[in-house]
Order: sequence, then structure tokens, then C-alpha cells
Amino acid sequence: MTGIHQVGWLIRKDLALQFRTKDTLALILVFSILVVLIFIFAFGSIFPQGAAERGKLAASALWSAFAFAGIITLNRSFEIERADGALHGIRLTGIDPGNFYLAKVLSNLVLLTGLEIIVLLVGLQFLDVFDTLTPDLQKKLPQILVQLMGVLAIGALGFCAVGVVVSGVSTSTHGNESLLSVILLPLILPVIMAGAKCTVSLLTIGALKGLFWITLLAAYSLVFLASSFLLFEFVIED
Amino acid sequence: MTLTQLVGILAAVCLFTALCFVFSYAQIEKTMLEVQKIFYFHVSSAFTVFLAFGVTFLCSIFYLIKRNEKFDLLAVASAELGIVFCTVVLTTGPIWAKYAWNTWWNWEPRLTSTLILWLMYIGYFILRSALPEEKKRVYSAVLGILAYLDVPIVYFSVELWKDKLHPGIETKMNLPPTMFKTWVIAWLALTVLYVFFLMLRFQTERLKSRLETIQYQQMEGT
Repeated sequence: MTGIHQVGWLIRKDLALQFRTKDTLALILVFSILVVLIFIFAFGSIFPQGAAERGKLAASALWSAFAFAGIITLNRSFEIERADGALHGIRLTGIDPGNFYLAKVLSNLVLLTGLEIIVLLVGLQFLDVFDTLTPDLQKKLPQILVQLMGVLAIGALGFCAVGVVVSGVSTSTHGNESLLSVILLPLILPVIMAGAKCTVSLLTIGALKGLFWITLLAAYSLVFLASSFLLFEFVIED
Repeated sequence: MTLTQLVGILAAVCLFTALCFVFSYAQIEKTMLEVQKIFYFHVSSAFTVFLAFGVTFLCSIFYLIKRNEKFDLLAVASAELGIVFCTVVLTTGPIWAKYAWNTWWNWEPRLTSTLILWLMYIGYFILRSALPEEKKRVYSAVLGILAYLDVPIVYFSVELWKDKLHPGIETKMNLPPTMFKTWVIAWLALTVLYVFFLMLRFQTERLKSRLETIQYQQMEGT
């Protein structure tokens, strides 16, 4: 079996597990929407009326929701492997650790990007961003949404690249979910900062304000993808 | 006299010399007056942080390759010292900020990145304490490598994030000669102090590890 086949089968296995039970999917979707709602209620009396300010609030609420939901997704995805020695079973099949890592990143990337797109649309509607956009931005809405999805996908790649390794480490401990947050959040802060900056400029001026933040987001994602690919072997060794 | 004691004495001499240079040789800066002198220890501590986490990074790589316990102990000892010097940077930074920019904390990129770095290595120790013995060394080495990848972002954040509020590298190169020489001496003093503490912590960790082995062997015997 070639490397690409191995990755393909592992992605199918991960996605089949998630879509068969659907409990994690339902959990992270409801949880993300709740985070957006909490932001709306918490900002209550100072809820901004202007389009630009709403765009900023939307970016903050959405990226917070993505970060928290991402932690749950990654934790669940590795818990399945640790339970009942499933990981040992996979290792015994002779699958390359690097391919296993890539499959985990890609399956989580598919799940997270899908989730983020749903939460993005629901969140922007709840925050009244669609209605308060200027007529100029209203015309460009489809393009803005496509660009936003691109930013979310790159952000999710960076998140999963480092998150898969850290969740592999933290699921070996007791109280792993809280530990994953403590270790992973500082590591992915640059991804969240860059992602939020790109989201703000897309929602307020309808385009990316320079290529700096998106380049940082992509570079950070690639650096962690490459380094985690090399280190993953040590995370799943016996 | 042991090597550790010698390095300890050297560190004491260097620190005393650095203090003499800071308070009697270096000229007083015109706008910030005496408060500017915090710069010598703030910047030197920041350099020592990069060195300490760099040693953790290298020892983590060597541990994963060689599986020699010494590298793990050195990595942990250096990470501890990195946190200590990082705390010094995060304490002296706001004092500087209050006098220079009239605020204790302004979310300036380099200060923010240092805080992120500090939080990352606190996570390193939380992870280490939560892991079972057999996985502790390997997993903390993995995290030690990943966390260090953030260090270049910390160091070049001023240039990268295009915020010129924080004095950049060129400021240190344009210092008047008395200030520059004093800063180099302060930096050397803190580096020697770091080496001294590293040797002490390494020896302590090694003794702790030996004690644990002896206790384990006794338990096996009974």
C-alpha cells in the first residue's frame, strides 16, 4: 500500500467514525454556536451598531468559538485512538507514523473547516453583520465569503498541524482536555491573531489589508506542519 | 574547588562589575534619566531567555536522538531558568513602559510575544508534572522543540509586525559607547549567572534522579 493510499484509508476511517456516531459533530457545532451567543449576551449593552465595529466583534466571537471547538475536536479525535489500544492496532499494521499524522491532520481539517463554515454563516447572521454591511460590501458578499472560507481553512490547517501532536501528548495524561487547552492555546495564538486580523479586514473593507497577516498564517501553518510531521513518530511510540 | 564553585565566583564578580558599570560608568540618558538603567538588565535577560530556551531546544533534539537522560535533565533545568529570566523581562518591561510610554502594559508585539512564550513554557512544566514517568521525557522533548519554534517570532516580532513602538535591534547598535560597553558587560554577567544556575540545577536534578533509582531498586529488592 502506498503512502497516499494509507493516508486516504485513515482519513476515511476517521471520517466514518465521526459521521457514524455524530455525537462529536453535534457537540462541537452546538458548543461553537453557544460561544457566539455568549459573546452576544456578554456584550449586551455595549453591542456595537456600526458595520465596522460589528465586523470586529464578529471576528473575535468566531475565532474564540473556533479555538474552543477545535480543542474538543482534536481531543476527541485522539481519545478514540487511545481507547482500547486502537493505536497499537494501527501501529501493528505497519502504517508509517508520518502518514498517520497527515491523515489525522487532514481528517480534522475537513471536520473543522466544515464546522467553521456553518458557524461562520450562523454567527454572521446572529451578529447582524449581513444586514449592517455597506451597499458596496453587500455587492461583494459572495467574494468576501469565499475569501473568509479560505482564511478559515488555512487557520484550521495551522490549528490541526500543531494540535494533532499536542492532543497525542495530552491524551496520555489524566485530565487531558484541560491540559490540552493550557498547552495548545499559547502555541496557536499567532494563528488566532492572524486569522482574526484577516477576518476583520474582510468584514470591514471587503478585502485583505495587505498580504502580511495571511502570509504569517500560511507560514506558521507550514512550519508547524513540517516540524510536527517529523516529531509525531515520538508521540505514538510505545 | 569544583568547577561549579569557580563559575559561581565568576558570576558574582561579573555581576558586581556590571552593577559598577551601570551606576558609575554608563552615562545617564537625557529623557528617562536613571530609569533607563533598567534597560541593561531587561535586554540582557531577554537575550538569556533565548539562550536558555535554545539550550532546551537543542537538548530536546539530542534526547530524542540519543535517549540519554543527561540531555533531558539539562533541557528541564534550562527551561526552568528560561522561565525565571522571562519573568524578569516581563517585570522590567512594564516598569520601562510606564516611564517611556506612560502605561504599564500596551500589548506591544514583543512584550505580548514574550508573555506567550512564558505561558508556553509554563505549559511545558504542567505537562511534565501530569505525564506518567515512562512518557515524561519524550513528550516534554517534543513540546520543548515545538515551543522554541515560536522564539524567532518573538525576536523579530517588532520588525515582522511593523510596530516601531518598541526599540529594535538597531537601537542597541546605535548606543553611545559607554552605554554599549555597559550593556555587553551586563549581558555577559547574566549569561555567566545562567551557566552557574544551570550547573547547579543539573546537578540537583541528577541527584534526584539517582535517588529515585536507588529507591526503586530498594523497593524491587523488598
